[in-house]
Amino acid sequence: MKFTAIIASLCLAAVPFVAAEETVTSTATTTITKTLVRVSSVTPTPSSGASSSVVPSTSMSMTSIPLSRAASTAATSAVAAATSTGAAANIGAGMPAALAVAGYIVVMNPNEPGRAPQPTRLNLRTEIAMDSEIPLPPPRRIRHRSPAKNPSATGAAFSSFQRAQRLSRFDDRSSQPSSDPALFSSDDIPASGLENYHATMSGAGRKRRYRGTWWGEQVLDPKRKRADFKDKRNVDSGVWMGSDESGAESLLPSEDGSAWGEDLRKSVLDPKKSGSSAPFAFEAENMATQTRVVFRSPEESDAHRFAREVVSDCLDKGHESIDLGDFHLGTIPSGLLRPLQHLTKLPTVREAPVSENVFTSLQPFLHIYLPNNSLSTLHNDLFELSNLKVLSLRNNKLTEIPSTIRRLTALEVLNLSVNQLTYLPWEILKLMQQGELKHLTVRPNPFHLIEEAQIAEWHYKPNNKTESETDEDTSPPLQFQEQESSPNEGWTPLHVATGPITCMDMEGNPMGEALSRNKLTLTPSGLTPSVNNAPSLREVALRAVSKLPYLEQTTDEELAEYPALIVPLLQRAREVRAAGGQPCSVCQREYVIPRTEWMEWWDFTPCENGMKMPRCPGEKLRPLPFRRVGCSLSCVPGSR
Amino acid sequence: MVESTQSEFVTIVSNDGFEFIIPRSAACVSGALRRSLDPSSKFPEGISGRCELGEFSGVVVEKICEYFCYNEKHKDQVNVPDMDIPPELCLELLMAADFLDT
Repeated sequence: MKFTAIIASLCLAAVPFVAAEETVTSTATTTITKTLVRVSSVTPTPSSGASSSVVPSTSMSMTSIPLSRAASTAATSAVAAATSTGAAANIGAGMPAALAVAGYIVVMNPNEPGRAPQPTRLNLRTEIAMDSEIPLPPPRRIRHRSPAKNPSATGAAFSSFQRAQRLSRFDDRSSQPSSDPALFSSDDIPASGLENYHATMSGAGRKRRYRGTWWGEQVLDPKRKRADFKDKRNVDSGVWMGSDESGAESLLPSEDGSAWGEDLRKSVLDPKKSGSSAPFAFEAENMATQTRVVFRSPEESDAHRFAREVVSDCLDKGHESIDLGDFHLGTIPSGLLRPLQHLTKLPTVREAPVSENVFTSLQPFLHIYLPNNSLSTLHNDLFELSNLKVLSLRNNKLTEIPSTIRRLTALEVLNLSVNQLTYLPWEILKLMQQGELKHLTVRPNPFHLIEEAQIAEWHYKPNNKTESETDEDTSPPLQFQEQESSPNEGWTPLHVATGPITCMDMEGNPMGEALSRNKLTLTPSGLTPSVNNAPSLREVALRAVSKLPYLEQTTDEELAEYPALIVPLLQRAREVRAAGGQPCSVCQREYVIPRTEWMEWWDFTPCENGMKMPRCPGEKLRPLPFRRVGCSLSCVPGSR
Repeated sequence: MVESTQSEFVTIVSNDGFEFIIPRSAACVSGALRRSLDPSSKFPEGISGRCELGEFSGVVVEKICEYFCYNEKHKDQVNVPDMDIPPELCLELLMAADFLDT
């Protein structure tokens, strides 16, 4: 009861001051005002029952006093406390009484808002006295120093109530904090005062440690360490690794999306079981379902799955040769071949002695074998593999080889036999002339036959035939004749003939008068004045459209919202964009809508033989049709 | 083709009142304008030499007229440079191209 004695003595000492002069009050300065504020904010809040019920649990080990009894026994002294400073002495006389007053006064406080400053002094004292308890967590609100909120009621009553209120913060989070405690270290945290340093209290000798965040959150179970924090960690560490480059779906083709999603889900559900953050688990669960949708359509066929396994196996082992033959693939699923761009060849480690041929290039040269499938179209991913050296598409159902094949600049061997091809893209020829393509196997295929095709001009004119165009009725000049001028001619592809030009209008549809212009186009004077070399406004706008960054993401549904007139054009631009652009075969400019199209007949028998032997004199030429496309009406054969 | 009664220039008017005066030959790049501006067609545009594109705003019509001149200039060139088109005008120009038949 040491501190009650202090209170008593101080209260008594305070009385003359209060009676004498007001200035003493102001000498109490900041501490007093702080206390005032604290007290004043307390006054309106509580119900007496709640606050008084807390009182017994104070750290000062007061004996528990039921409010009803205490209030009844000390009712008189409480009234006295409210009216006169003499009551302060009463309070000092016995702490139980003071507590009773606390419970009582609180009830009547709202009725008496304005108060004399005398209780304040008492308040200060009690404040000091009770500061021996736990240092409170820092405040949650900005403190007000508003003088409008003056203290009310007796200090004794308030101090005890305030204590109760403070304690209630620990027990009942819903109750409002009494007032704003010190916010900054420069503020006076009374507990840090020297006079309280040795303050004795029950349970003294043990430091009251506060566990929690600085803004007042309490540790619910201080015994529990951060052990289960690990469980809350996401699967994704957030650290970007070099191996992440091409994205999860493409790097792990065999570990398909759903499996990955399951993993994620499992790892996410565990912490949920252990009772931690449910919202996180929910969120991640959502993510898992989303990834499944994104990464893989659920009805992926077995063939696709096997193919993914093969590709991922090759990726793991660094095999350059990917054999996807006899998989009954109808299509190449997207994302199947893309990771092969990042295939890393493993160095061959051999036993000693180390010879020179151990040191080989680590640059991977892919061999992709897709024979005996049912492919009718080729995915653009295939043409992104710039390291592709050998490509076999034997025995498929291809009707057309996209011109995008020009991007396979490393291609050396190409097998297109047993397909439904009627012509080849002109870009293959470019690969033979400028690229590495040396071995082309294209037969059998239902190619257009030069004997039946319409030929506008014969380019390969044997010496004995001077005017080939005149005698088209006779057998075409398909005999190879050695010409002394170019010794290499036995090897190189030979341009035999050019077919008629089909001109397209601005929409890309064949123009009616195309046939009539067959002969004209091949002579420069034949260009009619109406031929305009400048691109049409459609083409100009479409080229701009195809450069838009978001074109690839536009779906068909979004396109349908545009006017029906331009939807086909936009779709076309999107296709061109997906194919990585489409340069004109004459002027090399990117275009969207082709304006001219013709066949060229080339003979490349030596390449068909795998460059085993050059053409022999007198050998029959077997030219193949190559489709060539121009971007404008002026991009026609002979224009360059 | 250009008759003596015909002025050398025509006026293209946008729906917000902007007028663009361009050579008649440039305007005739567009099939639709060529037909409507033909004096023998007895269209009012052909007589007055004033053509109102009521569906396109001034910004678009300006670009259209720029294209006319671009087309006129590069008509006979072999290596035609690309015309710069701001992305926000692409779709409207596609519609205009369809309307103007060019």
